[in-house]
Amino acid sequence: MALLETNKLTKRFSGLAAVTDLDISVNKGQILGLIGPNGAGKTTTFNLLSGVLIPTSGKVIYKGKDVTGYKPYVLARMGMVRTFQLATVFQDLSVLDNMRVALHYRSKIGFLQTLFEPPAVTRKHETKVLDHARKLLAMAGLDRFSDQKAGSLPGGYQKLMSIIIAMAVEPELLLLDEPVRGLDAEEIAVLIHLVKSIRDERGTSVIMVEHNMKVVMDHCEYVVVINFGKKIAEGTPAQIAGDKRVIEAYLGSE
Amino acid sequence: MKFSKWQWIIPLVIVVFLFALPTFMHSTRYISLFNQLYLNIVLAMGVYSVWTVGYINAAQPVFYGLGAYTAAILMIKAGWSFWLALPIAGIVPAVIALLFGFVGLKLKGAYFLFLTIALCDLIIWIFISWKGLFNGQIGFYPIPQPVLHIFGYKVNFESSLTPYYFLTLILAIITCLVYFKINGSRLGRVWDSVGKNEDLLANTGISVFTQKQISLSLSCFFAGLAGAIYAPYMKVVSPSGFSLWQGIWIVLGVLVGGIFSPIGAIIGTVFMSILYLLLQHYSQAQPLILGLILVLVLLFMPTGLVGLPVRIRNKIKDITGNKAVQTDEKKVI
Repeated sequence: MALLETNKLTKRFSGLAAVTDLDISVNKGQILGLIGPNGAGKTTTFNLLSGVLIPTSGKVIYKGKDVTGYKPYVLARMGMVRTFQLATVFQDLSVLDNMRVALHYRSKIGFLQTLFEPPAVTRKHETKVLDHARKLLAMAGLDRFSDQKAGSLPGGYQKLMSIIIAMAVEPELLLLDEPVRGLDAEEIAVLIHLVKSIRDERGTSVIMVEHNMKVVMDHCEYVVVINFGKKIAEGTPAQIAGDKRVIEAYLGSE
Repeated sequence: MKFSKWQWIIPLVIVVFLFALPTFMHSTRYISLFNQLYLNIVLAMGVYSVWTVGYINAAQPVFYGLGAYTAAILMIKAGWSFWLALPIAGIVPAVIALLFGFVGLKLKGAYFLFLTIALCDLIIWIFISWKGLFNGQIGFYPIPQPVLHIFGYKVNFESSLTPYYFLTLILAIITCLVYFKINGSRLGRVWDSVGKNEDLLANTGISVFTQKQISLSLSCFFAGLAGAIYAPYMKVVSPSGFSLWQGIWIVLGVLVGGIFSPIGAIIGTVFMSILYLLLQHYSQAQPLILGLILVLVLLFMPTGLVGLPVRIRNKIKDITGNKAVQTDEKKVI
């Protein structure tokens, strides 16, 4: 059974159809690429999946459950976590504090506990959270920047951090919105290595919206191409590369 | 940090000093000034905390008023003792804030501020018009005094302000402890991010709306407690005791002190209290001077009084040419 499925997902903005009858399905442990020319409706699709937008019609089915219209934080709790193109990290907090905030929900320490817990117990909990935070940071090689402001890190590191922040929520499905945008070849290699190692270790599924064709063709196992809000082709990267409709969508027809 | 082990010494000295103050300060005028200051600090801490989650609450005085009215009604109409009425006087405003939050906290920052201004007038209007419950313009007078026995001695709340001095001081200290604890905890970092990066926060599984609700309710709980002490302290609770104008003083105090630290809320409130004393006899000039302060703070002191030392140090460094050491981060990946 697919981990995530959409069923005739449709979104209209006052008559303008941004996404029409879209069917996507992702299996456990799969890396799926969602591509299409500018304005094809990729980001809208992402927002529909992650609960930022509510579809006009159609369904999102996650782990066999209809989650259409669920709020983003509920979906995140269920293990569907996305990253953002721009708001990747908590800019004003230190790198370590970013992770503390990201781990807050999973730590299960609520408001009342924060107030009434004896300091010794708090310290014990906090040490656990910090250990977990450092472990996650080490995964991306970011532990040496622990005390720096996240907003002052170079763009590449911030993108890595956004994935690590998502990992703190222990996702089963990771939605990456243009993860390698604006990165150079070396940074891309590090980031892709991180994503793949996450997938291999924990069986996390990944959907990525990406413009970088090389990344999509080399690293996605399955690709869905959309244009004008409709799916025009899907298949393995090799199948997609040879598909006439895809070439037409990107380069125009003769 | 080298001195962090001793950091608690300074607040402790201040607190001990404040507790000892009435033994050599007998002037009722000064005692009452301090009482008012402590109550204002309780309100300001709440306003500061809600500010960190992205909202400016100018209606804090009416939540304070709701606490005062709750205490007055429970003590006069139901005959409760002050100590029983006190917690209820905190819970009632907190619950009303929770209901208000379902509408207000769905709005973005500036619109929330407008709504609190409207709420302020609305609740004062209810105080005046709902005569059956709130007794209209007259309000409640006299409010029964708390009864307290310590080691067999009856504390004289009737004819001395000093017991109220300790009561308000203790409430202010508890409020500060709670907010400093939150500010120093992981939850404090979460609340910092609520105002700034909600989408990312929601994606880590945190319900941003719930956090805002908690913050607003908590601030109104403390405001209600302060109101409950205010009622017997002033001996009268009437609609004229609570106004939007008070709320503006408090908000401005938090801004002047610096919205980046709870210490700012305290320092700002002290500053505004001193200013209030100076302007007491020039009530017509008050709006002008408050407006001027607002402009000056926004232009020259965006980090408030708390951030001023750092800004001055940086300015001096700029002038003397001592550039702050900049770490040249090498890109490694």
